[in-house]
Amino acid sequence: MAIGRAARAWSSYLAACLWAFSLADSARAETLYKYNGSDLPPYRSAILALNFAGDQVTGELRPLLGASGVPIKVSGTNPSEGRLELAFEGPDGTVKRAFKKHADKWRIEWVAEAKDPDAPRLLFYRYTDGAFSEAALTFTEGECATPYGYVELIFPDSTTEEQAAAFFKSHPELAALPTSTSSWKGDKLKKTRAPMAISFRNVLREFRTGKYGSIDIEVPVGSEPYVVQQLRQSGLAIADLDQGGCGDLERDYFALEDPTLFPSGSVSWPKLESYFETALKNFAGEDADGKKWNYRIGQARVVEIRLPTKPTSYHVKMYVASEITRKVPGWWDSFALTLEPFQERTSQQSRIAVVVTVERLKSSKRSWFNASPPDDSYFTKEQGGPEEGEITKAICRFFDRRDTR
Amino acid sequence: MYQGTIRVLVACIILGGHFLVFFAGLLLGIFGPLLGVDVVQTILMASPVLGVTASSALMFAMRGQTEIDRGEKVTTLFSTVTLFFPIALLVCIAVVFVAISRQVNGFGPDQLKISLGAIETFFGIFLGTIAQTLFGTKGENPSS
Repeated sequence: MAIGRAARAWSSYLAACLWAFSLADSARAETLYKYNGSDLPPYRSAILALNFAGDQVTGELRPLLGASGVPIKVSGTNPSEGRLELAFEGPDGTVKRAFKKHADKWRIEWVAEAKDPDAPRLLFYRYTDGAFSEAALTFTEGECATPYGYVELIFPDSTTEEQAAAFFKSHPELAALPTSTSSWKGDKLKKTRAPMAISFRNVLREFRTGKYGSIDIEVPVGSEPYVVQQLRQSGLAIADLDQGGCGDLERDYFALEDPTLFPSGSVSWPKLESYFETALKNFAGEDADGKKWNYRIGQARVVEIRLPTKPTSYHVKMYVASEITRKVPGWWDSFALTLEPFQERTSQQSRIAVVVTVERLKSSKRSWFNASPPDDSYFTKEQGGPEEGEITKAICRFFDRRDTR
Repeated sequence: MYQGTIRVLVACIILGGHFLVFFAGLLLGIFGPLLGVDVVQTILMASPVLGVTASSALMFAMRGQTEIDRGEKVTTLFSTVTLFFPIALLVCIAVVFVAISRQVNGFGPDQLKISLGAIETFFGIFLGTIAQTLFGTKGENPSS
């Protein structure tokens, strides 16, 4: 009896090991690509997983993370270097396409050969500097898509407010997520902040007026992959990052590559906080000509949002010479700075992207009789978006330069 | 001290002080933390009491083109009071101006205007009485 139990246990253990090994082996062999010009509507991108074995290629075309849809089987050959012939076995039959390889330092791209030069480009690609991040496997990557912050929604006819209310009741973490929406009141764009359940209801009503093809909700930076995947799985909306226009972006971001910030493979917030603190002191203390300036930096606040992915942000109030922030002489600038890490297109163990937001910019004329920034009662001149944009750029430039030193 | 001497001293303090307040206000706009609108408001707020008193002093000075009556000897209390209040007004305004130029915490342009208003109100009645006693209303002959 005991011997039989031991033999069964061993055989189960061996089977589990073999299964795990085969899974790991297939995962190792599989190469993931982003596929643009999707055969899996409604999204314009999909995930193409390919296995190369000699000149034979197998794999499947999968929907983006969170999206519904059955994977399409893909097979084909790699007849020569830089050429692929693939067959996509979709529900409407098999479609054969030939692809040609283009590669540069950062990206390997396979572009479909098209007889019609005006036809939309059909291609798949991967980056050479790392595997796709979860965010990259979730979102369509458009040329002018904002990489963070704005979730674009299209509502199917079947979506009702009652269904949305039921969904948010079962997802309280999403219902309470701080969001904002923008709508035109006459010729003014009005921004309304509200929990996601309310914003979602409002944009659904707005969408039903028929004036918009799609509608945006601004969500906290870093929460986008979770929000989009959950909304896709709910079936309430076709959700993606805002594919937007190629206009100005009021925020900007920089990338940090410092291995000391990633002691265990993922970013350490205490270390990142300390890094931000030191870097911001250096930013505020010296201008581009090397001249030293007094500055004041308020108590930093780290805010973690209650989502499973725990998006976290760093908030601080700064008082800095305008020679540093805007290259304008004679003023002190006070502003609220927010730094919000988010996933870039590729996930690397020692790289993180950080969105910079500068808000509530006020200036105070500098007095000859005081070399330090005064208190808030002297900051009476309110500045607008262009000046806030200049400071955002200055901070991004500073971190980029610091990182490449 | 004689009446004429007191009148001359107080007229000089008030006329000189009024000019100094105006000039210091301009300097605060050029080298200090005040913006254009704040400068104008500051000068206007610091002017009413000093201005009225200074106009009486100016009329007195104009009347004394050839001769200023020496008058009678005044008491120590009279001379102390008539000299103290104009000087105290100017000192208070100077303290406020120094505070704003050095950007003392919690004392911004709004607080500056409130302080000037309070100073003007407080000193108004004293300086009005002193000016009337020394120079008469709008430069009429003062009671001696």
